[in-house]
Amino acid sequence: MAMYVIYESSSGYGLFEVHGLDEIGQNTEAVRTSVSDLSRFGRVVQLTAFHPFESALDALNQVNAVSEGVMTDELRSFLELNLPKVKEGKKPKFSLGLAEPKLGSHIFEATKIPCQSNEFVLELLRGVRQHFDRFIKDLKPGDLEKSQLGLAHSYSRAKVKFNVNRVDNMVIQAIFMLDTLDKDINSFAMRVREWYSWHFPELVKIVNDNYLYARVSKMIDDKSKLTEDHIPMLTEVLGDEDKAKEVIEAGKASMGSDLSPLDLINVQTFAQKVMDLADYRKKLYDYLVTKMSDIAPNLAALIGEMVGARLISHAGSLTNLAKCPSSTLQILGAEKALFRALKTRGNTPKYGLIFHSSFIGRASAKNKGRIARYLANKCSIASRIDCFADGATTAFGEKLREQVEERLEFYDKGVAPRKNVDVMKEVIENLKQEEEGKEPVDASVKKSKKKKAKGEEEEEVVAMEEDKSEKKKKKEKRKMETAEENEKSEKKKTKKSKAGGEEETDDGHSTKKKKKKSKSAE
Amino acid sequence: MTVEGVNPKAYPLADSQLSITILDLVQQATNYKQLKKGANEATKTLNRGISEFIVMAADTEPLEILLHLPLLAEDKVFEFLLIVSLSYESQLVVSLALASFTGFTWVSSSYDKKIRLYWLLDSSFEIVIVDNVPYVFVPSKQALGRACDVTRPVIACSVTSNEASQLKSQIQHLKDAIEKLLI
Repeated sequence: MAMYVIYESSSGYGLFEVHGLDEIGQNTEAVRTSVSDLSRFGRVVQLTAFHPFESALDALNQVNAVSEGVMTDELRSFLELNLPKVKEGKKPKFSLGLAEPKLGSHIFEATKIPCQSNEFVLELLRGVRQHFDRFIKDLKPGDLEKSQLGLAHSYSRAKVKFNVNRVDNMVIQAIFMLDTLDKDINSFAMRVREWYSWHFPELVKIVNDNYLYARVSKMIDDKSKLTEDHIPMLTEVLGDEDKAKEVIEAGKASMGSDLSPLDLINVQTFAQKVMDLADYRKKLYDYLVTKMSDIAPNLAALIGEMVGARLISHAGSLTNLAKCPSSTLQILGAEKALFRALKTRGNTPKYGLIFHSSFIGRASAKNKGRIARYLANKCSIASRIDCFADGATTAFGEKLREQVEERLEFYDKGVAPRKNVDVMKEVIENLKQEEEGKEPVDASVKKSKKKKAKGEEEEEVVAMEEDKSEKKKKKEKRKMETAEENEKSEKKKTKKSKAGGEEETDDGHSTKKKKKKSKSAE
Repeated sequence: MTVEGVNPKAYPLADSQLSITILDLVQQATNYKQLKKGANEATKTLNRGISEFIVMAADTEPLEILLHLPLLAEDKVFEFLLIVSLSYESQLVVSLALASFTGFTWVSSSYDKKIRLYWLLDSSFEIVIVDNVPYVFVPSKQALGRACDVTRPVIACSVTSNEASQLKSQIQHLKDAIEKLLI
């Protein structure tokens, strides 16, 4: 059986024919010894064809395709031109060795060229790589090193630019901004209170809410101008007429000093900015809720958008969160306490960021640890479903939430919770019913949106999966045909059983007739 | 018995003969205490680098709760070497390092490793040696649970490494068989 080896160098594709080496009985030690010697290796492996890359950009595209396990058109034409033709139905009398198994499977799917990638082939490729400059006569000294360095540089730069997590970055930045805004708004609101208290100190005790205080202070402006006419406006802001009257009364008897108009303008402007910041925080929160519902709907449904976003940001991305075991997810955010406990051999923490979930708060003190572990398990499942599922749905998250509720009841009252398998089957049946109700066009639109959200690389991965899924569908059709044949045979069996039943009834009638005859004879 | 359609994401899926071999080896690994059961424990073995191969059930519902394991198994970093400040001498050092990695330093298993060269932005680069952990899907989680000596179904398990174990040769043969499924 003839053997060819393809080598992807930085200058181009090289195809080598291997002969004289018998793979059966050959151990890698002997191959390795012969590979290092050029004179012996040169007799065993000979260059059949070489296809140089047209430019540095072309080299980059080819190598990117090889690293992703995809065969390009140039590689296909190169192989079909230089290898013996593979006839349909007949087994090929040669095999192609290469370094990348995924590329081999893709080549086999497209051209039916049998490929292999084992220790023997890798050893041969190592020898080819070592002596490549002497196989190609046209290469000038130093050209190979230059092309290698150039290709490595551009390849790595292209890899660095690509970021599959860019969708998650929006959530991570939004949650950081939200936390920073909370601190800033709190500081500024305290500053507004302190600043306006020089003028109207009694207002602090009447109005407790920071946002309302800023609004009331901006509305009042100069307390000496307060009259009974302001009660409707204050009632509208405070929502309480008694409080509005209280403000008016306090304004009349206030002991604060008078501020100049310029000072009042500054206080008013600052209060307005605080109000604007608070409004922006609300918009940012709504944006975060929308984004989390799009990126991680099940995790948001289970534990809430805020805690879910913090988990994603702490893990680095949704993919990293999905890769964590649930024990790591349980104590995300408590690393300092964990390492201190490990160092002093004390008690390790029960929870980290998930402490802010409502489930932990509702559990009794002795059950907090158990609920935390159970909740971390469900969060792991939800994050993996969000990361890898094609369609976005909150059904799994809602069912997982119900499971945690049942677990809480189980610890409090002893009510038996449902099993994981039953809950998951129920969700999948509901999803199937919903899918039957929807049109297939809508489904395809949703899938395409999800693909765009995940990014280019995952798109290609999904495309490959679709190719495989088509093959799987063909297999499923065959299985369906066999199932139909089984059904037909079952129908025949039922017919036979029915015929047997009829015969039995006939026998019954004949015996009755015999009995009647015997009675009449008597 | 009518077989439902298998999820196309469950790849590579073992056929019935290979499934029997895998489940037998899983059961023996259970007896030798070389098995970790469950998706979380399998994740931990991959993170710690003590996993020989991963077995997953293809009829898991939903299957997505397993799909992080192939991601972790694909790019398990084995070792890396950082080289700072590219120069002509560094090129020679890199060539010698590559030759030693592939030919001399790890003589027994050099060909199992893949070498990747990462170019960093400050004119330095690092060599990362990557080893894939094989993973395979078996048709039934009930059968996998029985093989693990567990009364419940098991959706994922990991056979761990032990150099002194009697299962070493069987594990190696099975790893080769699993990797052939990918071609």
